[in-house]
Amino acid sequence: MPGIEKTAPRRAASAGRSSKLGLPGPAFALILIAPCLLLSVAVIGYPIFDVIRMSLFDVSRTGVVREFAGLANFAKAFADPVFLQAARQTVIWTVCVVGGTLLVSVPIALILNEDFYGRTIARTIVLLPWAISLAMTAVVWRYVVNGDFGTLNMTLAALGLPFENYPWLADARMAFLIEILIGILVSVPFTVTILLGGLTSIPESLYEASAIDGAASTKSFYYITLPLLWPFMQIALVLNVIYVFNSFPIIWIMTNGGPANRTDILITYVYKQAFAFGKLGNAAAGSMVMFAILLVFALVYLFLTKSQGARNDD
Amino acid sequence: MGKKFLAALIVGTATAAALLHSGSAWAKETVRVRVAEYSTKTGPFFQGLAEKFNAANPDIEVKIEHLPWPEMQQQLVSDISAGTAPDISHMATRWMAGFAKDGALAPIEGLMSPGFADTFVPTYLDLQKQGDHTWGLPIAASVRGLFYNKKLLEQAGIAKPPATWDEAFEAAKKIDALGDGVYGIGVQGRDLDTEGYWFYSLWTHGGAILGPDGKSGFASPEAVTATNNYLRMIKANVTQPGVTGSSREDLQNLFAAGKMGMVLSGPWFNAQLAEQGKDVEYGISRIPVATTEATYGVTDTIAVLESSKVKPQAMKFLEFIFNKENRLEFGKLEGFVPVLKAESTEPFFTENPKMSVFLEMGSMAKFAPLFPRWEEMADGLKTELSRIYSGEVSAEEGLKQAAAKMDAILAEEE
Repeated sequence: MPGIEKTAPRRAASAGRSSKLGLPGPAFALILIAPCLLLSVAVIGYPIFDVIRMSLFDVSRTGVVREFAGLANFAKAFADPVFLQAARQTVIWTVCVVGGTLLVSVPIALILNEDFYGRTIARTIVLLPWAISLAMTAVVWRYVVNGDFGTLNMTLAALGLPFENYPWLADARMAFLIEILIGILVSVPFTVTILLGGLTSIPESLYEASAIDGAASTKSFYYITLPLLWPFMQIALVLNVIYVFNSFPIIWIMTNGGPANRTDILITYVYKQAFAFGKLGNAAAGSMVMFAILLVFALVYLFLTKSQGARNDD
Repeated sequence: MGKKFLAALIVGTATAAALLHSGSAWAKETVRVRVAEYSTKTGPFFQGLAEKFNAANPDIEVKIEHLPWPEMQQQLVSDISAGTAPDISHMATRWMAGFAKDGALAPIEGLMSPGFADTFVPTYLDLQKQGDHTWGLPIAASVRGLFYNKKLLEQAGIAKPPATWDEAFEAAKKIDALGDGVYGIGVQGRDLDTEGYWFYSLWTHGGAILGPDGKSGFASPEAVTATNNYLRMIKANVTQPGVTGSSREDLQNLFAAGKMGMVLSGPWFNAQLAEQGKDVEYGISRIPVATTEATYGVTDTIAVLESSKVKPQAMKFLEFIFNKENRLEFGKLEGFVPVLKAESTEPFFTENPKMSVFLEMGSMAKFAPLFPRWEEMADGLKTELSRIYSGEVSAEEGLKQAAAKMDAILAEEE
């Protein structure tokens, strides 16, 4: 790509020039970004501080912070079987949605990377679920899988299958499976976009060279595409984990965590604790647990993108 | 010149300050009122009331905000904790106890005009009292009845609506046997009011939410029998399939589509049927009985918040809402049972068979207890009912769990 080669050296040159002019370096830069930084700290930092505070205090249902409670809120959360159940289900939910998304997205990205007639339309269709709000998607799917009036059963029955009034959301395992499938559907566009970006960055010359050496297309997939795509898959994986882990609307709208808490994940559990039961302290403790887990993934993401950047600099 | 100007400035400023200070004498006191929407007509109705009230009271300006029910609780909790709560808010009566306990509500017995409290049907106003205080007014009240599809009953050869649960079971079997995707009777298993659907059976079997020993009555022998009453219907496949996936709306939609013989619901369902179930010929009778006649009564509350700085003005607006004329209009609009004594004798309620049955049952209504942590207890019950209805655990086992959870919360509260 000539464009990249041209701009990169120019940027380096101009950076060099400014330092020669004697402009103050890091300190000046810090002053310039200080307003932004302060705003970020206020907007992002204050809620985090408040949640930490609430998690350590006895809080009334209207948010009045009463006496210091130490780790009592955490102890209560971990003593609640529904919390542990929700935590287990969160793991299942995250692993299945993220894993499924990657499994589906890699082939889709590979196909969309090929040059074929109508590729632009195909790409647009794949990206469409992204354009619809999650809540709306969930509402629509709730209607689709409705036992008596849903289009899914209507279609299946028209095909002669015995699903005239099968209640899809009445059985917890089936309901969770449907929610996971919808979770995958809505995560695909983002993942495909990242993977497509990765695929376009693989130089065509590598494939040409391997073809000259007589490599089969499966071999070039395993030895060229996969290894070069892997860093992008890592990033898609980590970002998806962060998004899916606390994705609220699909589950909340379709099953409300039921039947019998079997589809509750941590975020729905925390929401119920806070707004249905008025136990803001417990909810804050649950949120802190989620925050800690997500923080680990955010650090992994930082590490991945950083080593990525370092590798590119070499 | 300069001095004159300065003097003028000082006088001007002082006048302005004085005006601002004594502004309350002329400026309007704003009363923010938040109502939840029972239907799309609720918001405009209260808007209309506010306009009338504002015109008659030039010193007060009532501003109406209306929200959908599912958002009310979260919005109210957030607003109270942020200090941005309205002066008057609508809420479910079962949330009221918690808010009152945490000091978010203002007691109104001292704010009401003399004699105002006596205009209410005592049962409904008594529900708004806790300790020695009245925490709100019953903005809506409903009791429940058995909606039955006349045509389906006729086709199944049933002459009159079932009066007992055994008759209801037999009727459900016959209706379900009609085939053609028709279900005998609805049983609710998810979302809002799942526990209420169970209370119908509990109370009519002589059970109680709170036992005589002050502990949970969820696992009493009557409660087990009441649960088995629904279980036999589920096992005989005379209910809609997938009870644990059916919400109140799901059942009502099935009934409105003419696909369900009987369903237990409240007066609001009349409004839905008038729009979506025009072809369904239906009647309403009392809840089937095993040992005791009963129905589930529910009220919603409208309360003044403790943080309000205009409590007397707020009360004045509340008394306006609850005058006979305005209440009657509201009752006709939304289909709730009368909460004012004066309303109860109106022909709209007494002569309309689709309303009079609810009026009759008012005297036998039982209510959910006003525990601050009732939502949690009800949620525990809902979870266990889900497990029982899906056949995962027996009624005894599941109810024992639900009772244990309720007792644990009761013990923590003391």
